[in-house]
Amino acid sequence: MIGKRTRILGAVAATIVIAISAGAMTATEAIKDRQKEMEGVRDALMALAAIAKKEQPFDAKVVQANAVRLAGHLEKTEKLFPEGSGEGEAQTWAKPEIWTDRAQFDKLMASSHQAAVDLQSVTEAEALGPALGKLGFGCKSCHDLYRLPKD
Amino acid sequence: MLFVVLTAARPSGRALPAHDPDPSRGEVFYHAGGCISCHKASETVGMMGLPTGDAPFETPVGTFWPGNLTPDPETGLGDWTAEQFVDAMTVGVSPDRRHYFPAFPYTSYRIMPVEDVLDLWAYLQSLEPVRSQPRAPDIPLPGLARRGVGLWKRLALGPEVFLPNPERSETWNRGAYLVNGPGHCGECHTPRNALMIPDQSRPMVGGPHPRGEGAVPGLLDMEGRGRYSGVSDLVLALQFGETFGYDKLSSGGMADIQMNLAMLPEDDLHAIAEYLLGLE
Repeated sequence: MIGKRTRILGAVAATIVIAISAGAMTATEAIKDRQKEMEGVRDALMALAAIAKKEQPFDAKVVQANAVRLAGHLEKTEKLFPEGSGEGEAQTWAKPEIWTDRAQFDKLMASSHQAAVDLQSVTEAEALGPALGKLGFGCKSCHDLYRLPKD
Repeated sequence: MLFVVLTAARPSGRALPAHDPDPSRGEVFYHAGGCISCHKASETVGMMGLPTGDAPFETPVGTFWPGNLTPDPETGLGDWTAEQFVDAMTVGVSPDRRHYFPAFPYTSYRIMPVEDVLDLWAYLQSLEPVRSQPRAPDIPLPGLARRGVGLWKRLALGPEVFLPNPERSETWNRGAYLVNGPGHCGECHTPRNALMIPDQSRPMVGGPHPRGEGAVPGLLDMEGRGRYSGVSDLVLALQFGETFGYDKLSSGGMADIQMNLAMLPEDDLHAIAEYLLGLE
């Protein structure tokens, strides 16, 4: 019996160790890292917006490259909201609802990521606006629900 | 007794001018005001659908249920008269003679000329009637609070009709009107004093968010502060918001507002942008 209990305790301890090492990042690191990823998202989005605004000529390769960058940054961002990272030593505008309403948050992140993946297959100028619109709607919904307004 | 007199909700008794209402002009005010964003059909549909008011509107004071703006005779505006609608919009009094809580921003709408309110009325009456579930607000002591609103209105209600500034262009004046009247931007962007009255000595300087979380950005000198490079940049921001990377237009309810504004004719967005960028 004792052996079994020890084994269970051991398993629990191992799980905790794995959980801690997997989530080795501190809240402060998570905050800073996700803000950096979001800056990457914004840079790629700005490059795409310049084309949609016709400030830059349409080039399917440029669109694809930026859409790939954007999807990559979003994919990383999704993993940078671990439990307990609502506060840290860096300023954050993340709302606590991210963690109380996790399923909805994850769903919105996943649909934004999907919109970024869909952007990668845009080959014609006319398709860029609607594809960006879909992505933008994801950004807006998520930020409206889960990001504090700031000056 | 004095309290009862001072806080009574009376119809204005004002006679309406002869006016041939234009629902398409009314639709512009509908989008400028973002009516659908509070009177939406459910919490999940966002801006889609008709303004039936079936989603709660949360405030620090409590939960309000915005009214049904479709012409359903029982639960909507179907049985209202134009006079009753004008009173609701400009003096905040309901057909059954109660004060509306100022979560409904009649404090801003009251500067709309009656003709414009009637155009909006014509637009709302053209919508498909939908039955909704009428609900009372969930706030402490609603009866007494409504009376309190009567007192508050005596202090808070500002000037009655928008007066154009003859020294400014027509575009600037149109922008000033849309921003301060139907657009009701100052309801959030102008800070409130201890009595929750917008502090008109500091218009559009920003402040705490009315929902009690985060901050509402100030709108002064946005060009000088590098927020927007000029009128056409701000027009694009209002039309596309975050879709084009304008990330200041997406939190605290602004995403919905931007999407409503995107429905406005481009001339009106230019007017709004010109006026806003001139705020110092």
